Amino acid sequence: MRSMYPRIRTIVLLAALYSLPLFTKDPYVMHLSNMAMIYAILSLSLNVLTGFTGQFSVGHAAFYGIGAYASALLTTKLGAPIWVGFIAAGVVAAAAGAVLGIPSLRLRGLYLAVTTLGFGEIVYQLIVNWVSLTNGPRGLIGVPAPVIFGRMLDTYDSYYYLSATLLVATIFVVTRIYYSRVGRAMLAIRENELAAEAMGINSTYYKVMAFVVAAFFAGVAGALYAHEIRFISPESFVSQESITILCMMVVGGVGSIAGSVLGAFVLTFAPEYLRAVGDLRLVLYGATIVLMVTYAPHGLGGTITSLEHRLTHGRRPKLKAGGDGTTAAGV
Amino acid sequence: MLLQQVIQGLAIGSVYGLLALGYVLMWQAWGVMDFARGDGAMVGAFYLLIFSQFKGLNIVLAFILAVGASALTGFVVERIAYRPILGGRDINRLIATIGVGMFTRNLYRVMFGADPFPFPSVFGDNPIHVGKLIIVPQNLWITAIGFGLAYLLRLFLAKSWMGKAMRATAQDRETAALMGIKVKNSMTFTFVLATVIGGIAGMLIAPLYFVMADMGALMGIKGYASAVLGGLDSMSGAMVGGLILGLAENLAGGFISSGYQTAIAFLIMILVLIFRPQGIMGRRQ
Repeated sequence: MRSMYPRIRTIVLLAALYSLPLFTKDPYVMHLSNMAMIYAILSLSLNVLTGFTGQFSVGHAAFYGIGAYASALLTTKLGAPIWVGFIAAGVVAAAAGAVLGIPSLRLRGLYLAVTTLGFGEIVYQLIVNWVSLTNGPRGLIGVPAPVIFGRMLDTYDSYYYLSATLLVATIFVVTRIYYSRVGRAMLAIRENELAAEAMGINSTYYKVMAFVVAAFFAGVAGALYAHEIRFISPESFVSQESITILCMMVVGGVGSIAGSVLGAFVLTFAPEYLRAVGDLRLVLYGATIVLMVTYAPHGLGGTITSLEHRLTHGRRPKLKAGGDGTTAAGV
Repeated sequence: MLLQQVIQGLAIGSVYGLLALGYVLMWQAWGVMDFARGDGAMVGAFYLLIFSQFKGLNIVLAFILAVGASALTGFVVERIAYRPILGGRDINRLIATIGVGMFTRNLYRVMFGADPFPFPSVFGDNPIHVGKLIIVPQNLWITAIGFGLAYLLRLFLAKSWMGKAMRATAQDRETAALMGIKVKNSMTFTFVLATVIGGIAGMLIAPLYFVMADMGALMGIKGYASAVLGGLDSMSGAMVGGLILGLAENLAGGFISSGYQTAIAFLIMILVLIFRPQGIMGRRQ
């Protein structure tokens, strides 16, 4: 008989996620939660690219920014409905993903990483310098709040439900991808591209597809950000932001879906609660990241999987030596 | 105008080249892309600032002390942060270097504030007029020192015993150990050397820009890009990559648009990588 545990866990987690605003309506906590969920979507999308397919990206903020600007511009300048903005954000970012995916066919590892880094810088400078479209460094103000079922989501706690729903949808889709033929193909390419091709996997197709999928979700996260904060400026999409997303994914656990979400929440809330130590918080943040990757190499996701396993099976699972985090997958 | 941009480009390019040398050294010996390189350069620039401006020492003495302090910093950082994770997964080691960079950058921000410190021009401010051309002497000095150092490093790696040991370690750690090379020492030394070279790059760029805690981020990216552009397995490639990036940036800034300066430099880099994925001087795998 299959264990009931995963299903119960899913229900409990969903209930906890949706009931949080019942306990606190503090705008600060709600805003941080929204940001954490936006980062969770970003980190999940990066996981499809890096965790599943093994393609290194240090330019993820570019897709995030493209999505944010696409939706903000459509809704403010053309007066398009919000949902059109969200879809357009995903589609435009996905198109950019396809463009960046093409050089990825010839480059791997660090060479690919530097290309994505360069792409991120180029997009950032475009946003800063294309003043007639983006209003340059001064940013775009007056991004409208979404209206859903006649209710305007103009407070952080009402917006929370939209963020939560999009996060759940992203988790669902990414999990489905992971366990599908597509996901298996991606994992095979990550493990050994040559062997995967020998098995009849079209690696060109799947590698570009990983870029497109990752960029799509990052674009949607961008739209989610733009309509939450209602003001966007280029400074939110600098290279440092790509590195933050990368850190969230790795601290959570490469290839781990639960880990990506957890990593995003921990690294969004931790610096805020470290404010008590003043300026030293970012120093501690850096030190924490070094300690995490040194002493919890499978990330938070890996740690949780081994705890859960002990809970349900009463013993410690063996993580693959020099493992790759695949064992830590699953929601 | 063109020649002037070229001279400026050469100076900046040689600094990028030195940074790229640090990346290449680290990549070969440690097999990691070290995102804290730029912050190492920042630390070097601060040491020079402290010794020459705050303590008022003679610039040559200050430089020697700053190099020594950089070496010591490199040694400590290697012990605390790099050595423990040597056997870890690549991506974890990369993130660890990002963490080290964040730690360093913010530590300096706490200690010195976020404001930039101006650094006086060491080599004199009087420009030399050659026909219509106006040459700032420090650009020539920076270029000369940059290339001089790169040449010394090349000699050191090719001729000295320690240099040979470092190259052997980079090529194959196990075999090097079997040949009686103290691999750990040799790796530590490589790290210290990379830190010192990066630190000197920071000191050279100090009079051109300001010294500030955040300067490392951009320097790191430029050095990284130069190293990859030149080819990660080639020392001369690092200098070539740095020069191309420095020239591309200055020419783009002078003739196209200063706003798109960095974007154009990166665009050129991506185009080169599409046609030569292993970098300009790199070997095909």
